[in-house]
Amino acid sequence: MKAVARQPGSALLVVVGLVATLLLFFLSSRPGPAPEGVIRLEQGWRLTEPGRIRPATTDPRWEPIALPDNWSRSRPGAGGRLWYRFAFRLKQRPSEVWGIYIPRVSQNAAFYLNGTPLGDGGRMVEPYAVNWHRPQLVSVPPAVLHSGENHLWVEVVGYANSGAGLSRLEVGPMTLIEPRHFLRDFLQVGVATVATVVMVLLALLGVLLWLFRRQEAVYRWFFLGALAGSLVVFAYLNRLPASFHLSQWVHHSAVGFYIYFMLPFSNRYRGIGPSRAEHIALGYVAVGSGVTLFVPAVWQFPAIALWHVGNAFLGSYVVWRLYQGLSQRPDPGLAALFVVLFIGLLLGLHDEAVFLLHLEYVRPQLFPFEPPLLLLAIATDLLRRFFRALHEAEALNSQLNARVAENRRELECSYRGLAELRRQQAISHERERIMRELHDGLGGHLTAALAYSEKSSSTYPVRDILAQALSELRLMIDSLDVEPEDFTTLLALLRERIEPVLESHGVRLEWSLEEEPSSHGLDREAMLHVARILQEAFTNAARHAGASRVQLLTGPSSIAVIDNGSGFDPAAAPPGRGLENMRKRASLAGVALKLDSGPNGTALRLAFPGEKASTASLAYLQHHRIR
Amino acid sequence: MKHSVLLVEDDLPTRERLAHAIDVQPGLELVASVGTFAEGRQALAARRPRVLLTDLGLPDGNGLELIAEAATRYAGTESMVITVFGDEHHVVRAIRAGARGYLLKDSPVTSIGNDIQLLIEGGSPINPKVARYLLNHFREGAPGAAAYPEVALTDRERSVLQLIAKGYRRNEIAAKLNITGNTVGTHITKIYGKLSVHSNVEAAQKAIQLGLVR
Repeated sequence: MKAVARQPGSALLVVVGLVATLLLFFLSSRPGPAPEGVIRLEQGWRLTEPGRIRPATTDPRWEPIALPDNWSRSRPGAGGRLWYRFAFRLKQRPSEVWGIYIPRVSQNAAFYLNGTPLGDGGRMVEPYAVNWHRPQLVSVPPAVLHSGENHLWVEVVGYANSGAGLSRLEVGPMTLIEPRHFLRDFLQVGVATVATVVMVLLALLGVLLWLFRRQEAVYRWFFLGALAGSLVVFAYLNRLPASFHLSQWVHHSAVGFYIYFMLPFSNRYRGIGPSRAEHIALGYVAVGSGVTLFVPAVWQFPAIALWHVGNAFLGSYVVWRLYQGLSQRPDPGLAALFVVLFIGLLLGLHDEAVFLLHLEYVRPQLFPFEPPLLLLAIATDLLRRFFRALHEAEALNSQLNARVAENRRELECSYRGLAELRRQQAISHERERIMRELHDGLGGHLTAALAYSEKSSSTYPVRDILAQALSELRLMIDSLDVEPEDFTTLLALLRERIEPVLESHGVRLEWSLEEEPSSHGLDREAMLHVARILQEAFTNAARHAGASRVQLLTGPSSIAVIDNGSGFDPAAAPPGRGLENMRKRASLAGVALKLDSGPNGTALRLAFPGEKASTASLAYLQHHRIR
Repeated sequence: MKHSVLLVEDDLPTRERLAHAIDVQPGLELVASVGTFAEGRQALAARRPRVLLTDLGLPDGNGLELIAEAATRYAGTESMVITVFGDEHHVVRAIRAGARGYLLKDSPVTSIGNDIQLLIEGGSPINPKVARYLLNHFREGAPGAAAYPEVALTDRERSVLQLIAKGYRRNEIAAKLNITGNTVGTHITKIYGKLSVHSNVEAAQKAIQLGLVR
């Protein structure tokens, strides 16, 4: 992953590109001395003859000529058919097959040795077979050769002003000639074929990237550049099903557009939007392309050469802009792009010079090797970017996941903490409550019992106090023991305790719990308060009222304790009756308390909260006065 | 004929108080009064008392085991558990083990003797909390209720429990349901028996689930 970020790919490509360029220059610069045993034909005779009849050696029109013969130089504006004748001496007739190697002939040629036809490269009348850039190899049977002077006729056809002509020839044993042809063929045709395949694949990659990343214009220009580049190389191979001139137009137009596409591409690559310069460049390239299509065939090549001068300026501008961008923001991808485009500029200038100076038969065309080099560099860099983005996304994603997990952990933690805190609070609240109950109730009773038991003279019944304390303790345990909301059971338990007390005072208890009162929203503490209030009411009825009967009545959300005692004035009630205590407990429990007392008895009514019928309940109880 | 009573209680004052209460009850005879599980077990085997009174927390064992032993091995022996508060926790566990009732430690001396006498005559002591527990335990749709209808409560038994849970006395319930007070007691004894059986059924089901029994 880190390796991608450091992009050894781009750096490697720059090195490979430079080496390949130098190699091309070296291989193309000089033919070098011919190996021993190979005869190089550089001097001969030339004859203009429109007909296909081979002129005799004695024809007076033969004139001396030196190869290479570039028609654009030796006979500008002229095309058609030319005959060449060469003579070479052999000591003896060779026993093995010989060959003739023609590095370059345009457009087509036919060969005759000592009067015997050896073959041709295709159609010898218009439209000629196109062998532009294709080295030729002609096999020579040993029988055709003889010792002494041998004569080679070469019939050449070509279009005017289109770089037609003939390069130097080499004749020799096939074993020596064939590798020389193979090398040239590999460099000019093989490499270009491989390059075409690569370009097409890159164009496919480009179109995929473009389709998936429409919002990133750089991929669109990459795709278009790759498309133009593959046309440059493919047309160079003369494999288009089109005439020579149309093929040449496609090739050079593709070169022009390719140079143009490099401008928006490098701009988008640097994050720059469309500019005026891009529009001007597009206008120039499009107009030039149109002109070179419709110009008369004779003027096509000069027009193209002229047009390419502007294209060379455009290429220089692209490289210069890249150099500017690089000096502002040093970036390895940008640097690789700059270097490869710079190489391309050199190759293009080289080819333009070859074009203008008619050096076609001395130097090969090099620019077709630029697009694959460049686009390979770009593809590597775009892939690097793509994968870096992917890695970034992955890293972000895992970061996000980690953060989400952490948040959840924190949340859970704080939630647990909160729940624990709440639990602790509940426990602490409950503990406080029990402590208070123990202190105020049980503690008081036991202290009193202790005090009385120490005073031997006291007649106060210690047993009663202890029984009361135990009863108190029971009430507490009951309130903890029953389910919250189960107020009925708490009442029933209260009866168990209070009835013996009432009976000991001669009071009869009438228990009328027909309707189970629901303790709306009463918690244990509130339930205990209510139970205490009722206990107090029963105790009052037994001890103070002088009643013979006490009744417990229940409504849907209310309870009443009614006795038939002497009654009392609630406003002037003695403190012993614990009225204040009852009211306090009622307000703590959130229960409405109503006390009616008269000569016929006392009625205590409790109405539970959360029930709109609480007053109605009281009214209901009012009608159930004791008989 | 006096009914024999075995008392197992480790707290000496309570034991003496309970022993006194039994002594003064005309129909009862205290055949042994011991303070440990081992002595209790020995006396249970030797005497085969009509009534076993036992505390749960004994110094050398749990009274529940004595109750269980009496229930399974000595058909003529009825057990009562001695408890301070008559709380669900103690009473229900004892009934599940096979006890027929409970005694409150601080009950008046006369009511202690009466409660034992009542038990022998076929009535079991009960309180609202225990009744509430039983109602919940035997509520319709409880596990095993459908599979074992013989241990489900009858409508009458359910009514008795509901009234007890509301705090009604035995005679009040009898009047409301138009039955005798003794019948109320018999209902309660039957309910206790069902709880005990039901507990055994539950235990058996658990054992089958756990693969202890096939």
